[in-house]
Amino acid sequence: MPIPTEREAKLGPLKILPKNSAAESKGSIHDDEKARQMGYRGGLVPGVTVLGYMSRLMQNEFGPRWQAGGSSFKGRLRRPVYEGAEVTVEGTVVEAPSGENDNTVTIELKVIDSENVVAAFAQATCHV
Amino acid sequence: MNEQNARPGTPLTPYEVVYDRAAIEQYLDRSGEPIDPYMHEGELTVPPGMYLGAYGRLIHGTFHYEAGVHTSSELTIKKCPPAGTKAIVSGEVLKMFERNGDKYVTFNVVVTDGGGVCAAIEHTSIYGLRSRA
Repeated sequence: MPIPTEREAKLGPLKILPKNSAAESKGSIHDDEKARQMGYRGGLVPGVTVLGYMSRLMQNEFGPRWQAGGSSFKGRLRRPVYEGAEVTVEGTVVEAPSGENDNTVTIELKVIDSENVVAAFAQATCHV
Repeated sequence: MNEQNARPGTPLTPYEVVYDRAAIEQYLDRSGEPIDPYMHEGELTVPPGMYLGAYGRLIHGTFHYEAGVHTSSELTIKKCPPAGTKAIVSGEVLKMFERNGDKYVTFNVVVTDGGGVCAAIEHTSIYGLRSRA
C-alpha cells in the first residue's frame, strides 16, 4: 500500500470504540464517581489512550517508518472522551516530503467524538 | 512530592520497565489495536504509543495529585526496540503554571535502553482541577 505523502492526502478514517482502562482507579478522573463529582458525564478515557489512537493511525499508514528515529508527535486533548462513545481518527498531509525538509512528511491528525467535535488533535512528522 | 517542593528541575524517581510481549499485548488490548502492524520480519517491536504512557508510573509514584487530567504530550521517537527490551524511565518537573483556575504541571520524561534514548516526552497535566460542576 502506498504511503500518503502528497499535500492534502487523507489518512484514515479509523473508527474506534474507546475503552476506559483506568476506570478502576478510584478517586481519579477515570473513576465514574469522582468524575461526576467534578462535573463530567463519567470517567474519562485516559488521555494517553486517546493520543495513542492517532499514533495508531500513523502506524497503520507509515508502518516501521513511524517507529524509526526522527518521528515526532505533538498532541493536545480538548474534550473528554468516554467509554463506548465511538470516535473517528483521521489525518491530512499538510507538508509533503522534499529535499528541503529532509524527506519528512507532516500530518495533522484529529480525534472526532460522537458529537462530531474534535476531542484531540496532533501534528506528527515522519521521515519517508 | 507536591507543588511546594516540586520546583522546576526537581527529578522524579526513575523506574525500570521491560517492554516484553505481555506488556505490549496489554497496551494493545487497552487501545484496541491489533498486533500485526508492530511485527516486522517476525519480530514484535514497541508501539510508540507506549512511550506516551511511560509518564504514569513516574509521576503518580512521585508527584502528588488526585484527579489529574492529561492535556498534552509532545513525543520525539528515537527508536522502537524489539519486545523484551529493558528500559529506564526518568524525568523531571519542567514547569508549573495556572490557567483559568486550573493548576498545570509539565514534566520531561525520557525512556532509555542500553543503547541510548528511545524517546523523549514533554507531558502536561492539570494536577489541581477546578470543578466543572
